[in-house]
Amino acid sequence: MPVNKIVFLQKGNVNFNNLKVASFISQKLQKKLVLFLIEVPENQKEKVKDQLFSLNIDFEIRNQIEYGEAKEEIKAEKPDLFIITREKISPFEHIFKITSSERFIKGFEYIDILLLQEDCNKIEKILINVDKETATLYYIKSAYTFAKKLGVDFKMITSFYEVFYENRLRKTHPDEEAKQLVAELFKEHLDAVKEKIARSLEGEEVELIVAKGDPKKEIPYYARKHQYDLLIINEDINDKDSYIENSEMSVGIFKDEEGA
Amino acid sequence: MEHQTILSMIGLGSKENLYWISILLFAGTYAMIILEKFFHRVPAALLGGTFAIFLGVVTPEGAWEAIDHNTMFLLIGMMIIVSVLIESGFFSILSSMALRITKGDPFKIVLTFTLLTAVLSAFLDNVTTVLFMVPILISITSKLKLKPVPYVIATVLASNIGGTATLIGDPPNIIIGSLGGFTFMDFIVNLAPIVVVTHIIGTIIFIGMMKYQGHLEVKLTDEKELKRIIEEQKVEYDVILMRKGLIVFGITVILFFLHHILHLEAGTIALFMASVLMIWAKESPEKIFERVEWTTLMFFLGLFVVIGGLEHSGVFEDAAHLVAGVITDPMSGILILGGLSAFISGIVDNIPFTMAMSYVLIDLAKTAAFDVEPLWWALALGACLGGNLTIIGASANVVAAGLSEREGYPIKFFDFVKQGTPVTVVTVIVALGLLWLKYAIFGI
Repeated sequence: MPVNKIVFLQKGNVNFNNLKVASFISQKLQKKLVLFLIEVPENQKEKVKDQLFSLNIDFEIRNQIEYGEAKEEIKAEKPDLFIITREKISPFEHIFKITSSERFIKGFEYIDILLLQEDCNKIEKILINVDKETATLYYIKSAYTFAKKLGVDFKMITSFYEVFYENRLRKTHPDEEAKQLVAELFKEHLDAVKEKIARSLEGEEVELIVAKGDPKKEIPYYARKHQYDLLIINEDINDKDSYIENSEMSVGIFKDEEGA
Repeated sequence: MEHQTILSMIGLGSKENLYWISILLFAGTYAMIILEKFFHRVPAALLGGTFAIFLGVVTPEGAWEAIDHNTMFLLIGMMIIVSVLIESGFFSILSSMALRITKGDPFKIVLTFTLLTAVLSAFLDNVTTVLFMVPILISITSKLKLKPVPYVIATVLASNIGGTATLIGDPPNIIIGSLGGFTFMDFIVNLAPIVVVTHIIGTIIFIGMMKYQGHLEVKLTDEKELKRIIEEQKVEYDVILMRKGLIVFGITVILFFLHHILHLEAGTIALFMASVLMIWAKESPEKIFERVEWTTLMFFLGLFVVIGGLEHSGVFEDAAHLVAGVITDPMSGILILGGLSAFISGIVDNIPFTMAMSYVLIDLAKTAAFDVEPLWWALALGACLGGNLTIIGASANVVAAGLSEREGYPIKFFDFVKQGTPVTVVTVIVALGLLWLKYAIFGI
């Protein structure tokens, strides 16, 4: 059942940078923006309304909700997309601290989630990760559609963990043979990912970046290095938390199947 | 049933023959280790150890007992924990932070990197620290149009000084801690304060020399280019793995502080915590084991057996009598043994020397009329700091030289001596002087 709504949660002070991005997404996807404002000062609520009215956004405000109940309320809303602000902390701080938004999204299933980095005020470049093992056709299609509808620059990426295979194969094969086998595995990896994309997008063209390295480190690194605003991963990906915590940018966690 | 050996079968199995054969084996092994150009030190040590078993100088059971399990467990455990930390990108983040703090200023670079290296070396082994810091330092300095070699040497010197501070900082300390029965806290109390002062003085000397030689002049003045270099640093990391690695590492260090209360050896703690980390981190053990220095472990294995042969045949007992004739009181012993250890460690590998001297001190303690504890600390200071004397004085120096050469910046023997020898002479004098002063003021 299509619900056509986006939930945007704000606790304490409203992040107006993120509100701008949430409005942009709501406008481009043509979905209603439902704001969960918890413990937000009254004057800010007014400012939120003014901003959304001026942008001509279809919105609704819920401000009678306790933080402890917010999770269940959001689940009950069954939004197409749930957006929450993520505090910006350095990787070194991240070792000792898990942000409240990262804790909050644990347990959410069958909902596309967007962790918007605190300082994110635009989404102009999106990187969509296509994991060979876990990315489903549904996920690829929905991430693609999302990026396409936003009308921004986007690319897909996959990473092949070459060193891992090479080191393993070198134990049982001569160097040259190991390299040959790794090259075959690489081709197999690439073919499988390309096939998934082709089947999912039914012929639509999209640029695929091929990285080499441990995906949970390499892909966030690539996104950081090339200044992407948003990295999208699939919900069932292995080491999902690592992708999230290793990314110093906004992260989208999109579901792998239509459901719930 | 008497153990039949090849020597006893040909009539050479007498105790006296075994005594001299064990000395010959040790001398032969040591010679092979020194002649690095012709023999790799690992097969040399293994050959010495297995030859001792082959000839019957020690039985296979005796050889097994001669291996100090605490040292081996500590090395393996710490290498596994460090391997996980490397895999997590922890060191990449540290070095990237260091670069951002220094903003390309050569003086700040040498100060920050040597301090970081010294602190890391106190808790990780020197080779690991150098393996990590040297490539980063070469990359940064070459981009900043600075000569990397003096910076690499300064880092290696700091690594050897920092490693002296704790039980786990340098292999000689691991051996001394285990064979001398010293706790992690004993090292902190007796060596760490001395090492802090020594590091400060060492830093002043090598920075002074670098300034005098013109290596601290800013070569890159274009701010934009500087900013680009800082931002281009490749920092790949895995926060979750880093968190797990640091939690386990932190608990391990806490347990080291408490190991005498818990009645657990440091090696047992390290290996246990490494196993916990491997289970928790869920990383492939093969990937983790790739970074374990198996060659170093094999080197230790062979040496323990060779040294076990000497111990078994009573050589150390006699050596202790000899040393007792020269060192008649602990105060002069600090200076004699410390100075000798520094000199020998500067020209040959300090691991076999420390092992042999440890056994001599164990036997000396049985006969000497004084407490030999100050001599253990003198041995630790001499063996660790002496490694800075020449490029072959410590494993970390050799590794750094190899890395630097591979990057196109070979470190010549005399380049190292020019920077290393003055630092070593001063730091050894200061460290032994402080140790002497400590016992002179507070008593033994």
